[in-house]
Amino acid sequence: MTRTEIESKLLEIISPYLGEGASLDGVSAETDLLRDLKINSAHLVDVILDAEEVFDIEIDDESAEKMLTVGNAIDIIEQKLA
Amino acid sequence: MNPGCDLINLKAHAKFDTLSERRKRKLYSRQECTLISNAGDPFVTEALMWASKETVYKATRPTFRKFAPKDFEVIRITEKRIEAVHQGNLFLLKYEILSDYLVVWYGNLVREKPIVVRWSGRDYVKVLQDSLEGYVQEGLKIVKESSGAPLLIGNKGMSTKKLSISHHEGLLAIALSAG
Repeated sequence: MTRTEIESKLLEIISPYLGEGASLDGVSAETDLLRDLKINSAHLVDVILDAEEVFDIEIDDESAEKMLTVGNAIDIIEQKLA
Repeated sequence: MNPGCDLINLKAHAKFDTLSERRKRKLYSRQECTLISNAGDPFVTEALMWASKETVYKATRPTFRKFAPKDFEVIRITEKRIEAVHQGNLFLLKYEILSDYLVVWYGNLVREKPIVVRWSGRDYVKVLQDSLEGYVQEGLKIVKESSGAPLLIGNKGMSTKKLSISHHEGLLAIALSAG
C-alpha cells in the first residue's frame, strides 16, 4: 500500500471524529490530530482502534503514544504494514 | 501545581462504543476495567475515568506530548472525589455530573469549580475572554505554550493566575486558579 493510499484511508477513519468547526481541507503531515482537527482526546483511541481494523494491524501502546499528527500516524501504519 | 479540568459532553461521548473490551484494554489498567465493570453506570464511570486522566495530565503539564493514558491510573471513585495516581503521586480530584455533561477538576479554583459555558456557534476566543471577565485583570490574553497548555499573559508578563481549558461539542469548561 502506498503512502497516499494510507493517507486516504486514514482521513476516512478520522472523518467521523472531527471536532466542531474542523475540516480535512488542507490537511498535511504536520496537521495535529487534537489541536488542528479538534478530535477530542477521549476519541483518539477510537481512531487508533479503527486504524487497526481497517489496516489489519496492531498498534501497540508505544506506537500509539506517538500518533499525534497525520504524518506520525501514517509513519506508524506504514511501519506496521511493512 | 497547575489547575486541571476536563469536560465530557455525554451525548457526544455516547455516539461511540466507549465500553468495548478492545477500547478499554487500550486505555485502562486491569483494576480500572474492574472499576468500570462493577459500577452502577459503566458508561458514566468510563467517562469520569477518562476525564480524570486528562485532568491529571493537564495539571502536571508534561514538557512533551504523548498519548499515554496508562501513565495515569484512577484507583478510587467515591461520591465526592476521585483518587488518581501518576508517577507515584496521588491526586485528589473533584467532579460534577449533570444531565448532559460531566466535569472533573483538580486544584483550588475561583468559584470552587470550573466555569462551564455553552459556546456552540459563537466565537470561541470571545466566549473564553467573556467567561474570565471579573476574575482576571483586564487586557490579559490567553496564549498556548508549545505543549498546548494555556497561559494568561498581559503587558507586564505572565499572570500568577493559572488556568486549564476543556471543550467538547459546544461545551466549554475553564478551571481558573484561586491564587
